[in-house]
Amino acid sequence: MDLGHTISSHDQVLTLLFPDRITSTTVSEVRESVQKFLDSRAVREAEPTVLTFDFRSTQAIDSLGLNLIFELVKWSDARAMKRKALVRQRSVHMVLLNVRLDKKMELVFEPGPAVGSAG
Amino acid sequence: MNPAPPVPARQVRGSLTSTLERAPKVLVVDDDLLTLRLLEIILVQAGCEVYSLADPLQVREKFEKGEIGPFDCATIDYSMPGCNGIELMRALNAVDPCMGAILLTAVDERHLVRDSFREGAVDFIAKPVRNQELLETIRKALERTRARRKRLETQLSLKDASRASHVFRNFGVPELESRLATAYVPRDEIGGDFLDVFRRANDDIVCVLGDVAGHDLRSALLSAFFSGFLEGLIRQEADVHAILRAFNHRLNLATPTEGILGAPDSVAAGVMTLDASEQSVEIITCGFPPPMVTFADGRIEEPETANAPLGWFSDAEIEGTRISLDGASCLLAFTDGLQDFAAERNIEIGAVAYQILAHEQNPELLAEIVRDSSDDILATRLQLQSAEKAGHRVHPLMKLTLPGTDESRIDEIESTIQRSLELAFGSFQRLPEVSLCCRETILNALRHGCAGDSGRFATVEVTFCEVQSRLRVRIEDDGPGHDFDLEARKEHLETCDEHFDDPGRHLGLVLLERTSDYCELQRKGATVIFDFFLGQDELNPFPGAIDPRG
Repeated sequence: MDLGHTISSHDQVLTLLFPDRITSTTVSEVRESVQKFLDSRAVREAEPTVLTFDFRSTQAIDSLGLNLIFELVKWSDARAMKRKALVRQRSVHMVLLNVRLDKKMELVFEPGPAVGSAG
Repeated sequence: MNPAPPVPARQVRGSLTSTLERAPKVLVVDDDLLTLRLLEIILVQAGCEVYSLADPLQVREKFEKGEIGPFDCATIDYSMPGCNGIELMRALNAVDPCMGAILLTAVDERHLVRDSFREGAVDFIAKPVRNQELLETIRKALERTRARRKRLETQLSLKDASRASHVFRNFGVPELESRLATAYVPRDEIGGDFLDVFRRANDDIVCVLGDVAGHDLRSALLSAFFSGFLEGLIRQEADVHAILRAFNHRLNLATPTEGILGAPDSVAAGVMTLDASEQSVEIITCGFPPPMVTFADGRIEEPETANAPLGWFSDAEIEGTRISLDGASCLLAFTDGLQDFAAERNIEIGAVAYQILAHEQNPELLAEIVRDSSDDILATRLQLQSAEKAGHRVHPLMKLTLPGTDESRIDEIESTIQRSLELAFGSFQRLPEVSLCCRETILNALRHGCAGDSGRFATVEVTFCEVQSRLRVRIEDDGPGHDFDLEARKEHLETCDEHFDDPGRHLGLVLLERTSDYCELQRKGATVIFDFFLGQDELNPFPGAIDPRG
């Protein structure tokens, strides 16, 4: 699954794009896509300082999807990176708040229709 | 061009009067005054009452306003200025679809009017008109009009009879009106579904839903016969089991030599007897979908026993299931038309029933909601306790029984739940949260409670209490539950970030606790109950027709 993650060498921001559903049935593919990108030479060489979770296409996250996000929080903790999440869906925002992810990243909630699904 | 003045009506007996018991009324429209006069003369001589006009637009206007007509037949020239014969015929048939029409054409116009047969014209005649041909064609048109009118009249009277036979017959139980909701959407003018409610001398209430196979007069008559049979014997205080056995026997006597498939008469029935103390209800189903009984704790019970349709086996025993009630109990019963409708659309029966019962007073809207149903639809909801006893009426929305191997179907299951809730309430704001909590709890039940075993099952029950606007989900598995202290765990999760250190541990529980408005774990978590309180403004929006998809 190519989700179109990006890294900006200009401002050292690593942006992970997530699909419409990050659930038990999709999470392995999403994890594989993210892992492949994080292991890429571009990311290693860029030494990013900010990790952005782009959830603007995301409509549903379940507990297995959250596990992946927690793993990424730990990964970025180990690299002393700042974190930011972009959210459009109220239900996704609620899920992130409910598991206290607002304490671990800057949540930018801009309500609106989901943008075109990544992946 | 000036319209030709109408020829005064004249009663002249002739060959065409034998078609009707009075002089046939014939409309003649032709912009050629010579032809118009000729037709008038021929038709009047043949005993017709003729109304003739040369201007088709004027005819159309007068006919649509009801200033002229009805006619038994119309003879219309094809080629006229402003409105050709087919256009005029279409306009006239829009007002009176039964009226036969004949188009007069020039020989070279025939190919142009061939389509008029599809528009309802009986025939077309080439000019110049010959008397005998005209009269013979008009005779056919009159016969066709008469046959169509007769058919329409029969359809309307069947519809009336059907409407009368399906009106809720609340015999002697007027106080049930506020406790009973019934929605009926017939597929045809007449059918065999019915609902009757009776009160016995001991104050037991007997509610009968019946479904006679077929959609014709025969099924309607059998339905009426069964209904009368029931009422007579219930008024004589006969036992319901004995009544059903007797009717089954009667049906089998009627067709003693035919097998099941050949037997023309069978009746599916659900008989619910609520005892006078309102402590229990006995449910007997004979080839009838199991009704649902709700409880305040979110359970939905269905009768354990089922009998064959009446008329199948002459020696059939009739068994029922008695269910004890609590203060919130409601009974939802429905004929198989609703069952099939829901299954074809991959939505849950209770959700469809909730939506149609919310619109029980609006037949047009009901028909729109269940458009394209292949069968009659009848659903009824009875609040089983009287107002002073009842707490909060609880409507069953869905009951799913899932084998432990269903984890791979979780997206499909979640979609069914979402679609069903959307149908019941519209796309309400908290739907994704409800859906997420259902998903998490179902996955937990299938994985841990049922251990992925095909022989173990999880049940999902969803109910709605209107008074409280409370959507309650109850998910239960037959596993032993968790081996840790749930209360201590919940308390701990409230205050710590454990899941950051140990991803994957009890995140589902955290989500459930924090997303729902109320959450209760029983049997060490093998039974999970959670509630969402929905805003009043989110309830009962008209969902539009339920499309077949899923």
